[in-house]
Amino acid sequence: MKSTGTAVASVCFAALIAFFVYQWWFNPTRAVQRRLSEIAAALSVPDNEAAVARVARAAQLRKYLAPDIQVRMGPSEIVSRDQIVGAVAAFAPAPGGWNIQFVDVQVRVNHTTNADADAYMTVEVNSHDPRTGQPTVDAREAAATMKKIDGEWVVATAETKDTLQR
Amino acid sequence: MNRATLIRVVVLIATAYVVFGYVLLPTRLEGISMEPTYTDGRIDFANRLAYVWHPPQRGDVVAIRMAGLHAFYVKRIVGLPRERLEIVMGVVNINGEPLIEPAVVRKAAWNFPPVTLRDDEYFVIGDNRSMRMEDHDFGRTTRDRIVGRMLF
Repeated sequence: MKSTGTAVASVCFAALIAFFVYQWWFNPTRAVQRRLSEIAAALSVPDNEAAVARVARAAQLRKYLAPDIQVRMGPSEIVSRDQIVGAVAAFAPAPGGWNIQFVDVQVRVNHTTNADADAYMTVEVNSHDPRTGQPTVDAREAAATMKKIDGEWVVATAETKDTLQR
Repeated sequence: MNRATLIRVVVLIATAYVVFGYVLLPTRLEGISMEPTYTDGRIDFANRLAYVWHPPQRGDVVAIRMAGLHAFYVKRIVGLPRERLEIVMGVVNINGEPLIEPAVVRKAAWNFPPVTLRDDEYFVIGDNRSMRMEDHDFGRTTRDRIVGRMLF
């Protein structure tokens, strides 16, 4: 009886471990969320960032974008990964840098292919007012489509959404 | 700590979790678009029970959600469903009649073309109309995006 109980407990424990391993490493929704967090980190600019570090950050970002990525922010559109990476590498924000976070992220994976996903989120930008130095927060809704290329989730399209429609 | 105190602490924590997690959402206001009513950095709460018994009213200051409940817009309702709204030289007209807005102190000469709101749409604007219209986020939102009314 005791050995049966131990066996059942062991199986349950193993199943739990397997579940959490799957959730953390193999669940595509979790993988997309993880990739989005990495993108947010790559877009964040630390205070007094050196030029070399900025180029390295841009190179990191490049790995997360599809070659034919389309980004729409209001009326402007960018349709080239090189253009985005170049802009990130050249951009120097106000002193204090900024921190970008994707919050309230909702991911819907196409379970037929497991290689396409839609993501919808709020992009929160924490920075400092250049005049007063006070911390400021700006937030915008955004949507992105992700696709899996060579086993890696990359951004295929991204656009900002107007919460308030004019 | 005796048993009764422990129970009180647990009840207090549980109550605070429910109240501030689901009913009164703590909000820190950022920006100047609601000045002078709300100044930058002010703390308030979005009351999610405000519209359980009646729909949002004109003049209410409401929290409007983005993708979730982490970040809101805080704006004042000026237009209600099915109304026709336009802004002429800073004056909001509702169905052709100028709207009296005591909370708006200064008005720049904003002009916004007529728009007719749908059945579930509200028109919201911040109180600070002295800023450039292009710098001010305002417009139509749907009922399901209105999280609640600001408490104070």
